Amino acid sequence: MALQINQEIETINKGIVTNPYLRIESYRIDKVLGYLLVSCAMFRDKNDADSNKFIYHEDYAQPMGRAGQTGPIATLITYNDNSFEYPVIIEFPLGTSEIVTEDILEDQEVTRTITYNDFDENGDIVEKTRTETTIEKVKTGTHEVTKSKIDISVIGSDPYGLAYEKLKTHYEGIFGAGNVTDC
Amino acid sequence: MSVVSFTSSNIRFGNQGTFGGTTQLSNLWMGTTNVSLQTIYTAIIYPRGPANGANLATFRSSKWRVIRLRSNDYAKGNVSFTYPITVSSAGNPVGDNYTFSNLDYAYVTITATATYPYTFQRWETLLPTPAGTSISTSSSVALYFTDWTGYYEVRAVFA
Repeated sequence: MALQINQEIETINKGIVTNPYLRIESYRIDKVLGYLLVSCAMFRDKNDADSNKFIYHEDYAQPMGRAGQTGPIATLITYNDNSFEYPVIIEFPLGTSEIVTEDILEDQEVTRTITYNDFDENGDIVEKTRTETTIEKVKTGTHEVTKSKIDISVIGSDPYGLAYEKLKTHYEGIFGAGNVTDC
Repeated sequence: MSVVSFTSSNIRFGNQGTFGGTTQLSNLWMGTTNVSLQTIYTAIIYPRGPANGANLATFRSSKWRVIRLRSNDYAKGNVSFTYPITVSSAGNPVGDNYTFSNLDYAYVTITATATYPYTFQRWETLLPTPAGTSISTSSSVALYFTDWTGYYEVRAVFA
């Protein structure tokens, strides 16, 4: 499962690349904040991507054993005469839209009488008062707003497929609709 | 019963925690004249520098790594990170201003670029000691989080 970008880009470490290969490197689900986080990387092609992964856990123990691993395309790329860093970490909110009623709060001056203890000339406690004016948030009405309700169940049974679907849409926003295909 | 007088701005309350912030300061019986609000926690991204030490250790269950890249001779070649960010040395060591979380990245890619007519020879370690351990003879190489436990300094050798 991966994506191919059907556009030509200029890179600083792998020359001109005609059809970059986009792969998700890791997935993370933040249950508290309701986000699916993916980190991704672009490679020259599938062979380039395959040379930058391991078959056995023991294989990544020694750096000298990775002579063929040259890493992904450098994040700084040029596309359509624009230089920018392609996104590596992307967060997708997991939730459903919901209309909720919220209070409208406005700043208002509020004057309060504060009671406090003081001491008289004999050292006895006496109760005194003073007034203080502060700015406080005061409810002046309500309005309806649309919010994203955190719901990680929207992931469904295929988190990997969902991640690629969302990544595809995100990268179509950079390279154009229809220019990012499954591969 | 004694009375304690506060005569200077020497009382500070944190703006987070059980004491709720400026609105609650007005409830203090001695008023707010000599009371200030101390900012104790506002940073989201923690900058680091030489005074802060090299290792950020463990924060939010994430192990943060710092890696510094050097060239044995910047006249012969420069070094850069190319993933997950692109930043070049431009004649100086690079990496001090960045930390990488192992939750987000399994590896970083470093790249050495020789200046003609010189050529790249190898990447080797400087720290941890002993220095001089060869890492790779490929000018562009992925370094994984399993390769080091804390502060890591590597050097590209050009000749």
